[in-house]
Amino acid sequence: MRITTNQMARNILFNLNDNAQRSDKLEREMSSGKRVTVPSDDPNSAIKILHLRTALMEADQYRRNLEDGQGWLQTTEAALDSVEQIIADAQTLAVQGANSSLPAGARDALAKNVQELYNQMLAQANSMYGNRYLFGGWRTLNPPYTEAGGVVTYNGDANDIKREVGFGQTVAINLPGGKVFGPPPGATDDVFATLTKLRNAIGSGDIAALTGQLSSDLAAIHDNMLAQRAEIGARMNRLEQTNQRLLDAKTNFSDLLDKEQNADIVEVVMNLKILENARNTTLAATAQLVKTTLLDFLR
Amino acid sequence: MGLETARRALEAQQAALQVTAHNIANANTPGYSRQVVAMTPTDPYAVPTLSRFVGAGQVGTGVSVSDITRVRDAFLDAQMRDVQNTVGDMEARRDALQEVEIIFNEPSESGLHSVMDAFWQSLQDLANNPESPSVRSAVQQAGGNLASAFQTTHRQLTDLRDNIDSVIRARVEEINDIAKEIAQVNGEIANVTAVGDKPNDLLDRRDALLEKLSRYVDVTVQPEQNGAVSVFVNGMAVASPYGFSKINVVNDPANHNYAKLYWDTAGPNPPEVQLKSGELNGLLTVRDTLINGYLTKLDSVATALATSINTLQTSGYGLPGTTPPPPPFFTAQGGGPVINAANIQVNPAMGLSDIAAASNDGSPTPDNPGDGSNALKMAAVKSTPDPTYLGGFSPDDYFRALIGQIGLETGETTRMAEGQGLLAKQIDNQRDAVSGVSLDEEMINMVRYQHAYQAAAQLISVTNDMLDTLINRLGR
Repeated sequence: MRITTNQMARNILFNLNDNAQRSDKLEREMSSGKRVTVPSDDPNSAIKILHLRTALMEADQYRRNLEDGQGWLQTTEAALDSVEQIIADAQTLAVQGANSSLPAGARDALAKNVQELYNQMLAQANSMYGNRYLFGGWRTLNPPYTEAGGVVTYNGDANDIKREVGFGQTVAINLPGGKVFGPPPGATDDVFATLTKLRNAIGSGDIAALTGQLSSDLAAIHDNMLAQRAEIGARMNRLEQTNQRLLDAKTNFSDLLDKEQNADIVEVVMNLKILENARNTTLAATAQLVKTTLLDFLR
Repeated sequence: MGLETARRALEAQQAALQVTAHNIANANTPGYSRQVVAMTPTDPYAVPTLSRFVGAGQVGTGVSVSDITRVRDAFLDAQMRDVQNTVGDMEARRDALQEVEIIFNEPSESGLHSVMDAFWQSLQDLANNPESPSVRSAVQQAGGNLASAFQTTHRQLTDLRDNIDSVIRARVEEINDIAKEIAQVNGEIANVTAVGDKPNDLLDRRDALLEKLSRYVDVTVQPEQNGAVSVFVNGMAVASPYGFSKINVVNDPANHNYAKLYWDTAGPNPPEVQLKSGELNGLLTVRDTLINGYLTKLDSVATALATSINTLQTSGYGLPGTTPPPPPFFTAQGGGPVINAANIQVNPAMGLSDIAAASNDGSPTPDNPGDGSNALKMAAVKSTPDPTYLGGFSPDDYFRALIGQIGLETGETTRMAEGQGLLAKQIDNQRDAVSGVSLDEEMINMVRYQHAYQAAAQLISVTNDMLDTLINRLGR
């Protein structure tokens, strides 16, 4: 088969260009650090990268939601602690007041103490997390408990504030006022009404009430408090476990994303070196080929 | 007679040297096929007698150049035209698809997917703190960025489409010019062939034109009388021994006033140009099918997203103080019933407090500022299958599939273009093997003819001496 100079030139140029194209792609990989810059570099990889990035973002978001929930729950827990203390104090005062030989002055003092407890309870019921009220259900911008003429009204609702901590998984992070300060199961009076009755009973020396109905009411309220605290504790545990799972998931997704997305620098440099060698060899051969023609040898 | 033979030898070798010189001069001319001299011995001389010869057999009388032939393989030319046709088609698609890839800018961190993710995130943040004006502002901002990104991508795709239309118009002009030139060269070739000569360089020129044309449109070449050819494009005669046909460009109002191509024939209904492959076909496919396909899918994502978010927005509750039902989140810029990627915008009439993070809990006016459940539902639109606009895929899945599709199509087209390019190079090499000028070969030929010329000159000298002896030296 005839080989002309043009053929040789064409082949050499084609191979040099091919080499240059591949070097260019590798250099792009090296300078950007990414293996896939356009979808056509590796379409399946591109889809996976998008997927993993979203998964990472989701894991981060769930953790953000979760941490916000933890803040709420912790503040609620602290408030419940105080409330429990107040109820315990009220129970003590009830026992003290059930002493029939108390003088009127002492009775008045005790009654005043109960009134103090009542005020503290009201303050606790209007606890805030930042600029939002804890115990109002969804009505977080206005105080859930207001007092007028000795009667306390609940202005909130009975709804749970939920935080999403996983795909389709939500956790309620609040306690609507009714659950904490409302009538405990089986009773009709809420906490404030009970405290008012206690104050009146102590003030008037109603021993029977103090040792009977009020005592059991206060006990029921105390038990409810403990139950609610346990509920909060359980939720906090659940959040902590979920947090740990999310951290693990984040690490895994990060690793997968790196593997999918990042260029293997060692491999890239090695391939570049190989291409450089090939290029140098081609150029050296070209120099030899195009130098001599018949003219050089004709006399 | 010896002189005449020598003279013929000189002439022939000179002609051969001329052709060699022509080959050497055109060694690097693209599309040039080497020419060879065909030398034939002239009619031999038979001594006429009544019964027998006087001397030995027929005597040769020298040489003449019977033909200057161009060495060309028409089959390889036809193959090359086929390959160039496919190369043109594939390269046009590849170039356009690579631009589409760059427009979508995935999987970078500034692409549309990341902007969408940021929007979903802002909604989740809203669920955590629906009462906060700064968080609401962030949602509005993220929605605005998303609408912007949709609009920009849409516009860039339509701009690309417009550009391709300009290229198509330019190509049509080029095609018409080439057709005209082919017809002209056809005429010249016919004239020269009719006289009996071989118009080698004109034939080269016509072959080059045909190859150039075949890159743009699919051509069939049919030989006619006197060396002329007829060139057909998918059945329609573009150039014939009698003239050429033009392609006319008409603005098509049904297709954004883009160019529609018709043959320039007489009569009221000129036929539309039908192409099977070639660069023009590739460009038309990109303009009318490929880009529109991606635009439709982009629109689907935008419409699905906007519709789902709006449905949740208008059925939820804003902050206390707003009047239900809340206004829609996204609207179409410039009015219109359908929101798509070209016109999506955040409703300018929607205030921060109107963002319906809370669900409708049945109360006559909104009074549940701490409720973020509707915001959570809006954030979940990302992974909710949409049967109306996305065929049951969620916006996230659909968009990822779209990016995958772009990657696959671009990769495939690039590989095909490369493969065909390689094939073209092979055929080029084969053509060179047949028609290419090898300088070494021409050198050797030159030496051969030079020697023959010198020998012939020597022959004249010898004959001259002989005659001199005969005429001047005998009989004195």
